[in-house]
Amino acid sequence: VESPQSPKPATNLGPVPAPEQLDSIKAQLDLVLLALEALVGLGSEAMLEAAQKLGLADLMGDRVTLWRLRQASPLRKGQGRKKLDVDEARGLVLVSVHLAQQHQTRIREAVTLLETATAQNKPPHRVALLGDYLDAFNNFYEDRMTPDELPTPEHLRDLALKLLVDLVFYSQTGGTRRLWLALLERSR
Amino acid sequence: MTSTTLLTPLRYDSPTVTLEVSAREAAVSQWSDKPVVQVLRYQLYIRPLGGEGDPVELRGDRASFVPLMEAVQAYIQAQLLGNVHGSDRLPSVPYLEPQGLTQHSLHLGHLRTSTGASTIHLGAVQLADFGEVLDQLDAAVRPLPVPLTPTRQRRSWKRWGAVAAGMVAAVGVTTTLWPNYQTRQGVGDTALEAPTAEQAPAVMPDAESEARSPQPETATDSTAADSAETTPDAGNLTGEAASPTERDETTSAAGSPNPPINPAAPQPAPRSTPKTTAPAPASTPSAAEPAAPADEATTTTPDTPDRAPEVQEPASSPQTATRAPAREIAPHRNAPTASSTESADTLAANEGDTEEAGATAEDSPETFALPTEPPNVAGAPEPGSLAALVEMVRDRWQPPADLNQTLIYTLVFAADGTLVDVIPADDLAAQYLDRTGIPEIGTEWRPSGDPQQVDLLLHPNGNVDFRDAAPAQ
Repeated sequence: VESPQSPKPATNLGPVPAPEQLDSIKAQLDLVLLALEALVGLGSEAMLEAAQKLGLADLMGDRVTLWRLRQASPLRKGQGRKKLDVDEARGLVLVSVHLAQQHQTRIREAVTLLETATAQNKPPHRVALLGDYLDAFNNFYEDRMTPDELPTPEHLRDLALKLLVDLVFYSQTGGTRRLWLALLERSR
Repeated sequence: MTSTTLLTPLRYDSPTVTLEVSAREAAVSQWSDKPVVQVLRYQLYIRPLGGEGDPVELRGDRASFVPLMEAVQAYIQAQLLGNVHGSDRLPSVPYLEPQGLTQHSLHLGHLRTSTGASTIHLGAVQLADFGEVLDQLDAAVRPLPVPLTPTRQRRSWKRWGAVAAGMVAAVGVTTTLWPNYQTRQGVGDTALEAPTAEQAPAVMPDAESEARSPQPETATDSTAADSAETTPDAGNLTGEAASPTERDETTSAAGSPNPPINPAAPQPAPRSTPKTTAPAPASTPSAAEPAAPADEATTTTPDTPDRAPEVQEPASSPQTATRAPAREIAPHRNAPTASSTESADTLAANEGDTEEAGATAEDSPETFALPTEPPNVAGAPEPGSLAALVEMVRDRWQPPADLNQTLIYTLVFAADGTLVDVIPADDLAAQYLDRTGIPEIGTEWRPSGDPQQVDLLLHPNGNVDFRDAAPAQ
């Protein structure tokens, strides 16, 4: 018989990462949220609302806390980087997946268009929705990430499209588990 | 602790993928937060993204469900990690490989789609939907990765019981016959034949060497029967070795499934060759019996002229009526022939001790039977053929003690001869499906000339028959 659910939703995701894995996790989570922002124009209000709904107000109750959590990514510009703890990482996973599920239709539409464009050998940026997404992702990335780590435009495009496809999987029923396991595995 | 209850149909939907599962809940569910089930059958429908075109349909049983589920789930996770690698892939087990960022090929291993394709192309959205239905299933129930075999224990006792009964009978017969044998010992060779037949396994090596000598005596028959018994395996190996690569068809889940390729016409011919090496048929109907497979055959008429002379040849060879009875136990179960029950009865009468054969003929007066080989050869059906399949099922079929009605399954073969589906006729048949011994879906049988759909009848007395299934089924 499984142990009863913890009252804290952010502690029920499974394996716990080692401290040294958290840096990678912070960066990955920030990128997932960046892709969501670029695709559906999410703002911090939507994220705070999702956190509220998920009972995570303790972890991210206001814009400043949220900003500091996002700022924890080692790819980010600026100083005052916060150390992300496991519960906060889990909280961001829950919020990301919740938002992906909320915007599943848009995500599926974008990936369907990407499949069609790829099958037709058409550059993705020629498709309106995908072009907007790629532009927004580029702009956000260049604005927020440290210039030392900036990838080439081609790499950035590939990264954006990969994150877009990943969002389809995160927007499904098992999205939370998939994202958490992917973060853990990738940080090893 | 593993007793089970009735079948539960489960269905999970996503925009492009639907999964239907027949599962049986295990009694261990009481110890779990979710019902623990054994998936017995599943059907998977993968629809094209745009909605136009036919869905790809995949059916299978428990044995193929678990590897498929694991392959898809593991691949999705590897895809999210960006480290898909294929070093440890086995061609017999389902696996996926990427075709660019948004396309994936699902290689089905032994499985085949309803059109006979061995590969399905999936877009990213379809793959996500596939994962979704599996997640839904996983969220609702806990599928068992191993089969539940509650009757296994009983079976072994049954076998031991049969062995013990056989030994008692052998001792009894020997005691009865021994004085007789002693008195006739000096009379001549013919008097030796009955005991020789009973002791056939003991004299096998000698008999084998005799078989190669010019005179075809009774020992030749029993040896040939032995060799014929081993033939199916070898035949299967050789018959199927080249096929997977030849027929590596693919179908796209986005539409336009490729039609399956028919097996090459010459392939059945080599399989008929072992037939000629099989022992000469003991009974007179042998000349008529080659016609019976032709009755069943739905295609390959070119085979018939090839086969006819081959079978006539052994028919004209000298016969002996004293073929080793020990070898006839299996053939008796095969006795009813496709052409008529009359021939089965005749054969039964010819063979003498035919309680079992008679029962078979009574049980299924309207059914076709095993491929109409002469009774002596019936134990060694053409390798890789439908007959061999039925023979295999017969060997495996252990009717549960509580079963009192015939179970009927429709076996569906793709055009290339692959078994693509096994459809239980009713709930009871579905319930017993995992115990029938019917081979795994995707198994390649090349029943050249056999029907594309056949009904397999598993009788509670241990008999197995088949008959043509209506194409509409």
